[in-house]
Amino acid sequence: MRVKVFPPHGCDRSALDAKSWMEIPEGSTVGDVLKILKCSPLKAKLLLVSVNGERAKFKHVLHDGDVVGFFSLVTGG
Amino acid sequence: MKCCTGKVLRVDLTTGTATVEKIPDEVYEAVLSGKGLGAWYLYKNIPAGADPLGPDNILGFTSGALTGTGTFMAGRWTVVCKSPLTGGWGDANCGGVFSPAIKQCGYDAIFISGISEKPVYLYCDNKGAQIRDASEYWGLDAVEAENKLIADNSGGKIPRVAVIGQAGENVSLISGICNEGGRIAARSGVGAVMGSKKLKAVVLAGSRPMPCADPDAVKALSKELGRKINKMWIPKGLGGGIGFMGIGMGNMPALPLDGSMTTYLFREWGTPSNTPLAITSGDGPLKNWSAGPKEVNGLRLSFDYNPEKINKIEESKYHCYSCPLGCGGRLDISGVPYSEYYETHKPEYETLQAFGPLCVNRDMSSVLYLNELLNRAGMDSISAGNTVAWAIECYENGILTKEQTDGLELKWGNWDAEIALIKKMIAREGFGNDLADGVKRASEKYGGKEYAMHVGGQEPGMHDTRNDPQLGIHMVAEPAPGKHTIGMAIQYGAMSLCDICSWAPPATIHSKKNDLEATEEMALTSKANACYSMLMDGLGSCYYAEMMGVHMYKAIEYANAAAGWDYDGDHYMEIGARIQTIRQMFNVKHGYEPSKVKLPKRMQGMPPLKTGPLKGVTLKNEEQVAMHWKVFGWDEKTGHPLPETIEALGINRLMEM
Repeated sequence: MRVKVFPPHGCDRSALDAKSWMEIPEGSTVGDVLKILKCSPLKAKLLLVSVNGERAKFKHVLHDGDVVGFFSLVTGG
Repeated sequence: MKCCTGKVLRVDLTTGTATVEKIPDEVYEAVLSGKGLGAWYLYKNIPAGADPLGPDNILGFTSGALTGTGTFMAGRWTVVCKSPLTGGWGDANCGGVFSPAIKQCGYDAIFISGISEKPVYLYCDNKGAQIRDASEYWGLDAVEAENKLIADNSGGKIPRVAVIGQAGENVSLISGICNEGGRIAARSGVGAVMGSKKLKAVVLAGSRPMPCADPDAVKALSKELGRKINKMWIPKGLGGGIGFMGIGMGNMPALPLDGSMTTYLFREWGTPSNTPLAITSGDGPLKNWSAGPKEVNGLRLSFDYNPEKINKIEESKYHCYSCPLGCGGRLDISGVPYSEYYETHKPEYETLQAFGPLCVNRDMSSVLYLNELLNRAGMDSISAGNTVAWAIECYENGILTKEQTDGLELKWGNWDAEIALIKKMIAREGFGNDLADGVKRASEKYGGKEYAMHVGGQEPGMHDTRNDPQLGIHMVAEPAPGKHTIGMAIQYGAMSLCDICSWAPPATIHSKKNDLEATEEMALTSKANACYSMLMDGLGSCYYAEMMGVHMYKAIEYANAAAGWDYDGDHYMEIGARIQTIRQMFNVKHGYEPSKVKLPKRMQGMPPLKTGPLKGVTLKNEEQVAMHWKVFGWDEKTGHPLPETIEALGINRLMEM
């Protein structure tokens, strides 16, 4: 299944296509996405997460077409 | 279009007549309603060369296509006219409850031409329109006049009012049109056009139903959006630290962000959430666009404008029509020592920045007072702030003397002088009279043109083009130049337009250096940004809905459900391109030459700033604008839409209707 991801700074974006979508196995969680992005556990603790515009936890199970946003308190703009 | 009435009201104030005109459905198919309908109507009906302050100019009040359908965040009303400030296309929009009131009278828009001999107001209800004497309202500020008009016309339904204050009555070229106690459609000098027609107000008391093709489908979309917005959250205590976040933002490349996250900030603090961020990140212009944060002690200034301070005096929050977000609020300003008023609207970021950091003013309470003064007078705070900052810089550099300023000590940070000058500008008194028409005309009289920040005659919004070169393209290429509500890079990063439009480039990580080049991808990005913005304006949707992104605010699904259509994103983006092209054709018809519109050198980084996040940045704005025009199918040298583009967009046929 495919999800759209807005990754935080300093992550490995190689799993994302040009439009920032990524293929993940059925049943994957937000935490699994962070692992694919190679986001360090320490950095992950500083992130706020939303799925489809709603606050979510790392154990949130994703579905096809979901939009996953990560917001860091230290960010670019 | 099943979500529009198919009719507009045409009023001639010279003859005192009002007639209803039917609009062909093909027009709505081509340009929707709102700004699109306004562009089509004004292009057809204002003769070339018309005096913006003369009888041939048409002032239009338009509602959005989605207004009243049950669509959330679609209650913006847009004023359109030929701008007396720029000589070209003019528009301004505002929230509140006036947009549905237009439709409830049975119209999608009200177009007003001619000039009345004496002050009048237009009254409309289900029975039709009347032009009424406004002698007893002329001279009142916008809040006083609105309250009195509501009281005097409240036999049935409470009427909704759009009204000018003293600035509009005095035909200040930087005046706007107010509603809801001083909320203002501020830009393009629309208030001056209304004042020139001796039209004090438009009072609407209709109660007709507003159409929608599939209300259940719209309701389902709104239910989903409302649930998400109501579950929004923010980290507690973030407000005080936003300035620190700005330091990070100013020094790191910018990532595309999930647009839904912007909603947290607006819901908690409204647009003042951006002020500390803007001061430290390079987004907000400082000291009349001349300084970096360090030179004005930016971090401390960011604490002076901590949005938590505003929340502490917030009496209540409010929502625009059909908006679950509610970024507005009423503030208790009874504690502000020099204020004769007890409350004001929560100021927008633009006002805070323009009279705060732009003038190196550390006293936020003075800006709250200025906010109320300007709202009541109906004067554009962006234009007025840029004009005051110019006057201060001229005074500090000896271009203006104390005799010329009527004794005002116009120094950086002297908020008492800021207040006194604004009062003079509103009253068109002494030195203020010369500044009441904006910075371009003031600098032509007194000198200091190098300090006069305007684009094509209009003062720029409070976002620094050196921080966002993409915005710099739009500040120039937008048919109503100098606007900040179209084309920001951070906005593009949040919208995910590539997921609804086949030709819109994906948002990428961008840095100021990367964004300086004139590439085709950059131009396609700026085109997509403009087309989506026009689409949202045609629908009547809010800028903050736009920023939520296409996955959260489903504008395409909303439009299809409300209109009974089944079009894809590419089709809607073509509507956006059509609206933008007609607006530019309007400019060309009226002799406004796009190629002569330039960013002030300071805004291009010529010379570049020596400190701060914008240090060393110099734009290639002219090359980028040329590329933007090219991908729009406009002549890359002149900015005129090419005949083949006009034909391909079906505009020739549209103008025969």
